[in-house]
Amino acid sequence: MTRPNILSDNEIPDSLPPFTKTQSPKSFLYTKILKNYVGEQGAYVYALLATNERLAFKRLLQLSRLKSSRLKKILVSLIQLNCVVHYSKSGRSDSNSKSQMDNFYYYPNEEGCFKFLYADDIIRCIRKEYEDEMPATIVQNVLSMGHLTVRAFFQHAKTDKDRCLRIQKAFKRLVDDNWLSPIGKNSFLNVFDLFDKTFKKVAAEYNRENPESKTISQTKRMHMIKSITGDNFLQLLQEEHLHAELHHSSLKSLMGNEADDDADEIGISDMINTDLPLTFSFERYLKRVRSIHLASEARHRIGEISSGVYALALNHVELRSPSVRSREAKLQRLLANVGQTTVGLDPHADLETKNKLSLKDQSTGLVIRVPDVYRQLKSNGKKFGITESDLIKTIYDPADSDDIGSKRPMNALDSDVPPKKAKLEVTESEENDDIEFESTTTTDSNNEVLTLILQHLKLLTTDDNIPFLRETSPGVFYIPFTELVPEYTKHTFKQYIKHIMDPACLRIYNYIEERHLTDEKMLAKHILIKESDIRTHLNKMQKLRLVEVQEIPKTQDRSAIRANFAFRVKYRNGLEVFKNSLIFNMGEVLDSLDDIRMDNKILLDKVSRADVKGKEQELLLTSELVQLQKFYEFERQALAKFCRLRSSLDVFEFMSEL
Amino acid sequence: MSSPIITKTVPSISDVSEIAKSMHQMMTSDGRSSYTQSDLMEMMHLGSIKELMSNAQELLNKGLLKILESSQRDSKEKGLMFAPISEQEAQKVNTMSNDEAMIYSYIAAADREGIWTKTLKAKTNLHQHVVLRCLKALESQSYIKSVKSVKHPQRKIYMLYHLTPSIEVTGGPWFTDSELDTDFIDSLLIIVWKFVASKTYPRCFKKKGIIFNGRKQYSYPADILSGLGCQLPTITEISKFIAGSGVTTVDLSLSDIKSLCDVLIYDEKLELVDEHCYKSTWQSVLEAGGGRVEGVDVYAPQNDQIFSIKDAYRTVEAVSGGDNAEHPATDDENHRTRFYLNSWSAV
Repeated sequence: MTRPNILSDNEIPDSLPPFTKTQSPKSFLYTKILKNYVGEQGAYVYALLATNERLAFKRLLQLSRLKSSRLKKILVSLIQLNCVVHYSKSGRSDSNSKSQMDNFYYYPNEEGCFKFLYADDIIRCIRKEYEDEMPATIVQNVLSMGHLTVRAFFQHAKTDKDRCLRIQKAFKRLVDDNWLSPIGKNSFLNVFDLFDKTFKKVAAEYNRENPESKTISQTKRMHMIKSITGDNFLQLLQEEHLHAELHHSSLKSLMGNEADDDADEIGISDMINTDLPLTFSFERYLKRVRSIHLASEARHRIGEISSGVYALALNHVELRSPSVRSREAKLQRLLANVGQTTVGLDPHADLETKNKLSLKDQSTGLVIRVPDVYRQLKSNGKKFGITESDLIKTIYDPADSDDIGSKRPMNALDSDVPPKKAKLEVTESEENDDIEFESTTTTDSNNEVLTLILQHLKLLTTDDNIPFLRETSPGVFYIPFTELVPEYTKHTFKQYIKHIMDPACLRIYNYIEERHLTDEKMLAKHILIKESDIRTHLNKMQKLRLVEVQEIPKTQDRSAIRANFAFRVKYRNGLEVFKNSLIFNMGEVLDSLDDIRMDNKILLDKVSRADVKGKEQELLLTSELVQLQKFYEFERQALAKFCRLRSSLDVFEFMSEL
Repeated sequence: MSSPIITKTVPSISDVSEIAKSMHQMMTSDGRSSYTQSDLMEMMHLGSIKELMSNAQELLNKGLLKILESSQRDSKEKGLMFAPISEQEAQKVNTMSNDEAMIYSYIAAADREGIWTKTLKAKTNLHQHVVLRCLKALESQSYIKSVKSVKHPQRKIYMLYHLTPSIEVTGGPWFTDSELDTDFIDSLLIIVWKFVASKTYPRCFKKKGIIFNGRKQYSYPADILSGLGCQLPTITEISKFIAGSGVTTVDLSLSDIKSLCDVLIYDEKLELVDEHCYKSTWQSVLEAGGGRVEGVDVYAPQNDQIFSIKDAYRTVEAVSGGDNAEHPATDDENHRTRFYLNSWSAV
């Protein structure tokens, strides 16, 4: 269902106009999702904001042609869901004038849309994590409301004391594991404007304290201001005061005096502040997604069991691991655009940030030792589908009785060289890493498992292209996230090229990337593919901006007929096209679902009637049953498509850069 | 650099003087391709240059000698070189017309590289018709042959009939009749990859690719796969294996093997370890049907795993397999069902 882009007077937008689809793939996808959650008009307002980037209320009213009261309601909902953020025109966020809404600019915000996009998987992930329905219910409510206080959630269970305690306990677990985080007013403000305001404030203060007369060069002055702005802005985003407020409330206020005694009984030392609004931390979910993707990659590059061991190692550091979308890197980009000389992001500054983050990857909290993984195996092994017995005999051992009689393959050529015996014992220093732990586990089988875990961790360090793990000293490992994640994304991107286009395209892409700039003749010589085939593949790749053509003139008049054409790859451009195509496809899947629902509307209405439910076999015609089955099959397939496409978006949207 | 100077031919060769004849014999029996003036003076023990020149002129007149121009590396001066021509060759040239002889001499000078008809025309300064007529005549007498160049497939290149074209012209072992022999390359790629894979993962292809004894993984320890104790195959070992296995009669040099390995690296089937060893990727083993866990259906849905494009090998077979035997899906349909990127062309 589409309708013209321009609305007539007093028309209420009840279906999305074509521009929501055509203006950008993201707009198409987000409006489709928002349509399902907040309705057509909410999606339409979001699309208008996405077109204009920033709109004042009056202008938005003019463009949307909605009633003022209706638009206000929509905006409040969208702001609550974090799909729209605002900022005061005057720079003051606490404006108290009569018509408050007129004083603000409104901006589209992706964060809320992401939460809706991943909502089903988030709930599934929480359910799997706690194997309990309560945390999942809480998260579902938080997601659908945007943010929620514990008190608000208590409303429907006020009389049931046990239920209240269960809720409080679930909230506490979610907050402790960072799935829920407190939300402050800064979360609803536009980041760029907030940064700009911070910068201006810092600059004014600095200039007041250090007037022009002081012998400080302009460059030094700007450098200092930027440095202070960076620190202040990060503090603002972290909202530490909210975290301090998180734990100082008790159930007393809500349920009477007995509640505190109950809290002690169930072991909740400090309760979650019942009046502090909590929101779902998408960043925490992204950490989980990153762990799953990396473990899956290890499964394809090293092996099933190594992947299981890696998943345990990832789980061990997940909570403390660096953010998937680094705030520091984002800050660098913001800082690059302020001041008098705006020359963009300095590559050295970017590199410096990367180096800092790489060092953080090695910090004490993120170190992995064999006993840590063993402990994870004992407690979470089942969840990750790995048991101690799975580990046994997974590493080649020349002394293994299974291998006696079989030719040692590694020495097939050099039979003179004595076989190198693989080191299969944990060294003394490695064993002493955790004395307390060692004292409790001294049996041979445990030692064998420890040794095997070490072997698998070492195996994970052997991959040069994708560094899953690094060994700093014998038996001590860390995950180099900063280095690993971009490499993983690039590798995945290439795998998509291979599977979607052709394996030959991957060969061509890799060769061009290695040579930087090359022509068809060199390609044909080195990748051993016929020139005509190369041309066909290059043409395909060029359409998707995977390769770029550069004309090299051979004559002085730059005659095109005599010119040579060289090819080069631009990873970022290719990735962007790729990502946009995938996002567009996700939108199309949702579109096709809407279409088929519309086509089967009468049947679906009939099925959803109370008197028909459960008696479909008796009350529906055979043809209707067949049609219904077809519909469910289509829906199942479409949702599977959507989930698969979304898994690629995890990588290309969130893990492509710091 | 040498270029031939055209000599005038005479009908008979038995008329030359004894000294000239012995000079020719010594030059041909010595085996060198060319001689300087001093070489010849020394070889013939001649007293004066005049004497040498008269004999050389005699041989030149009979077409038994040709003069080459040689340039020294460090000086701009050019010297003269004398090259003997065998009696049969001289007789052959004797039977040709002047134009044919001229063209023949240029073709002979081009050696195994061959000469392009356009270059020939430019060098001889003859009309195209004349060049084509001469080439046709020489070809019909099996003095010269036309070869296809890999570098320039459109050009007509000529070389002496008895010569084998150089690697630059034929393209090396990867070309058969100037066509890239993709079947040969592909089979060699598989052999090289399989050899490296068998050295990287123990027993990965035994028992139809199923890991033995119900294990879920069976790998070499890390110190065998990297570092000082690395036992992965090098280029030399791969080359030895190819030579020893007798899979091909074509001689493959180390650089040929290296280019095969490079292609496998571009395909992400091999990886370079420590800059001299090769290891195969586990993904490539999985795609080839190796590394399977006993009792686990590769094509079964993976509900506990996140979707990864690298699992595509698990669905490809299923799509083209027996399930859809009644309505076999076309390539395009397969493509769409698998990856859902049908809107790509519209973007």
